Amino acid sequence: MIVETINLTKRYGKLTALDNLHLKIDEGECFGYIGPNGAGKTTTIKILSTLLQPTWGEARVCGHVIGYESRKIRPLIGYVPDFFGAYEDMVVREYLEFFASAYNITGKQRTRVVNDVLELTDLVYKHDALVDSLSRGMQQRLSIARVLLHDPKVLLLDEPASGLDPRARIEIRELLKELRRMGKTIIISSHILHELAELCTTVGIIEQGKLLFHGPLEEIIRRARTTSKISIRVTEQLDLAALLLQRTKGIKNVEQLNGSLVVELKQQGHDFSAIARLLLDNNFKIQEIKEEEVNLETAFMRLTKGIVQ
Amino acid sequence: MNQVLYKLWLWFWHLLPANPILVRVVQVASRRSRHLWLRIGYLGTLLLVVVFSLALSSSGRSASLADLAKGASQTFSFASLAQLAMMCFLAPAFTAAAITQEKDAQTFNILISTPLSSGQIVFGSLMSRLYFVIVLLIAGLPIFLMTMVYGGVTTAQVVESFALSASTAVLTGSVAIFIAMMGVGTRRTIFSFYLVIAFYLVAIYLVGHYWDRSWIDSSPANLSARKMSWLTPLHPFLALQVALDRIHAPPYERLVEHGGMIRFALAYPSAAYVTWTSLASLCLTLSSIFFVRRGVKTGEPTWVGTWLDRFRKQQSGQRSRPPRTVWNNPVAWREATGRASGGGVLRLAIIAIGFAGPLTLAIYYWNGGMSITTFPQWLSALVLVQFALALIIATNTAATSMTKEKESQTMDLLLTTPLTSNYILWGKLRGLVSFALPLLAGPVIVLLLIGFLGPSRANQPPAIWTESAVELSALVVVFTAAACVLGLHVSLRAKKTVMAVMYSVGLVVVVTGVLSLMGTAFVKSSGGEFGAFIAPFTPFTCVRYLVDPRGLFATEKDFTQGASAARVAAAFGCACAFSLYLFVVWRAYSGLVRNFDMTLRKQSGL
Repeated sequence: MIVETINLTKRYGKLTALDNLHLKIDEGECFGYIGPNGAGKTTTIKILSTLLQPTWGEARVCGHVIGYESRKIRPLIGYVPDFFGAYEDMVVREYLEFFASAYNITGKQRTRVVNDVLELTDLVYKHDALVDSLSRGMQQRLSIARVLLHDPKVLLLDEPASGLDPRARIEIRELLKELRRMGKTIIISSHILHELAELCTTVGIIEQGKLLFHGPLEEIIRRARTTSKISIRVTEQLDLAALLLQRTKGIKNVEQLNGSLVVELKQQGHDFSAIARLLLDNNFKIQEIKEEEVNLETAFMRLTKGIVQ
Repeated sequence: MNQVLYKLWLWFWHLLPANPILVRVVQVASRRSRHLWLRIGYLGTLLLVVVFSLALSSSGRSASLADLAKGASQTFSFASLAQLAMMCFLAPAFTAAAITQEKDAQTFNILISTPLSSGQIVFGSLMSRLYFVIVLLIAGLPIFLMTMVYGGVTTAQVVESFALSASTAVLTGSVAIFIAMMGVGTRRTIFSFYLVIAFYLVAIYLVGHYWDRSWIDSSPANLSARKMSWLTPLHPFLALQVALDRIHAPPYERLVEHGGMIRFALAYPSAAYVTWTSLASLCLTLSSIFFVRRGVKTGEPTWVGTWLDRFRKQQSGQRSRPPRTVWNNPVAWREATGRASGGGVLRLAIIAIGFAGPLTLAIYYWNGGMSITTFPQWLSALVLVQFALALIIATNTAATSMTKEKESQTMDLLLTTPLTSNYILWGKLRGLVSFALPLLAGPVIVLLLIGFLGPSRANQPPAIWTESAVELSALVVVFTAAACVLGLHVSLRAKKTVMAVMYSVGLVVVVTGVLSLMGTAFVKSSGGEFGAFIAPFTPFTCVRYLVDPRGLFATEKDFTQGASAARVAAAFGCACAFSLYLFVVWRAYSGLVRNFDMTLRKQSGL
């Protein structure tokens, strides 16, 4: 286990930002941290990056305890905040050399490392550009380049795709996939759920400081699948088909949506081939029949509404 | 006709009283407790000045009406001076932040995209800054009216005093708004703004008040044999002295050799000052209205930058340059190179003046243009001014060091690296010293030269003691280090750069001023060897009496007799003062390192 929190609590006066958070992340995982605004994602990431101290509980990174062994943790982590902090009048190479020096990388090694990360993040052609002249996407790539200088074990990324155009988002996503292949443990908080679904192996959903779910992606989707729903498209007489199905046992609800019938079954795992047979027996021609897709977005909406306990 | 008048009235109504920018500030900001404390402080200071002055003038004995009137007149003088001094400090403090309002507030672009007219935006911005200053002025009026009770103070004098303060405040605000609307202001400009105002007020006053070559011959001399200077219509304090009858303006009839406007200005300097400042404010405001939507916006090249491109390789708008080499201590590198490359012209000018001024005086003295008694007086005044400038610049730079990191959101990035708080602070201090040393180098090097080269003529004692130059060099460095550490303390705790600069520069000015006043009082009361021992303990007495030790003695004969003992006492005093200040700096620095993490975490947690 590379990151672990035990009863992690953070209070700001009367506000409880984190409430007894239990989190376990293994080495090499790509962990997606999801939650509404103000849920506690940034607070968690700031605690893990040693910027904040917990009010109560414990957090460990690479076996070292936050607050007591923070100095040992800092060389092992790379923190990318949700804003781009830049010094005035600095060019890209100076920016990277500045932070390389902060990580005690000196001499020829520094030059080599800076060249390597510039190449990895495709910023070589911008090495002499002023950092505040870079586009948002390039700034984000530069932020990632900064945290790769010292080859950390854990990357803590707070909304890395926020404010990026589609191309920039794809580039960041590909870069993160590459880092995952390199064996880095990545913790990402984001609101762009379909991208997290592509990237992450495990997911944590937090709301009002409480961790609602933590586990593999498949598990969260399975949990969010509270009902069985199927979508049926018939060639004609949609109303009649709806009426027929509404009277059928085992069917909870029938809804017409965009020319299709969305049928909600009373029991999960119910065999819906019977419904198909019923329609065919009544001379309805079925164009399409498919089970409802539950993706990460649907799961998030259901879980944060408290539908799944 | 009625329709036209109505429209005119409506236009004026929306321009000022119903200006949404001004209304917002009046409704919301005036309820802040900070402004309440400011009003209490301002009125309390005025009241204290009046009460003390009245108490001093009465001295517990029954006074005649004439004595009461004289006392009231004196009280009014002190109150006017205090009011003008506070206005000269508060007006820049309130208006300076306007310089970077475009970049900082992120609301300016929204504002200029609304149907608000350019005049509404400019007047709204200007009056919202000046509102509190003018309210303070008006709030002080009853205190001034109290001084009229016993006579000795005319309504015209009260009006003149208020007009001088108000026009100074309005001019300051107009300059700040103009810089903001032109789009040439940065955070560095704020400090230059303060510095230029302070330099103008101090330098012109010193020249006008003390340099007899600037005095007008036809002006009657006062009891101290001082006359009115040519510079009086250009300076609020000099003009106030005329309004308070401390200095007499030449009669209009005796100025026949001068043209209409100059004649008027010299005969009625207060009115002239109010007139030209009001006209300047109007011009600047009208220009601001012109430029508010036409001026450059963030990222666009300015006309100044475009003009300068002729002399430099990089084009304005060009957003790249060759990378520099980063030191092994990146924080020190950032402080030293980042500061030095910014505000370059002002900094170079101060360094150049620091060398040129004392060197010119020294050459003048060596060529026999000055006596051995006059040269150290002028030199000490020059070195004092240079030292004061260097101290303020160093304090300002230190005050912005942490707040800039927090505002540009790079502090969090630094804190997640292995750099310890000691490393970061040591880097800051090292960078600040690298930045500040050249500012002090000029006078220090010239003093060392004068000290080692010896007297100008044979059989003459040295103008400056050799060891004084060395002692002063060491003390000046440790005083500056103390100011830097103070600036770092304030910068660590403050949230905004403007507040950090105001507090730290204000603190340094107050502490240095109080210490120096106390030191001067001690030295003047004791004099001689004891005075020589005490002088190094406060910044300005240190410079004053180490450069001009004759000031410690009543007569030249006393100085000749007591010089040897005074030198030994001064050397001992310097050693003790150096050790004391070094200890204070070390303790303060250690405290800074100890509290660094906790202070930043508390601020993150808020």
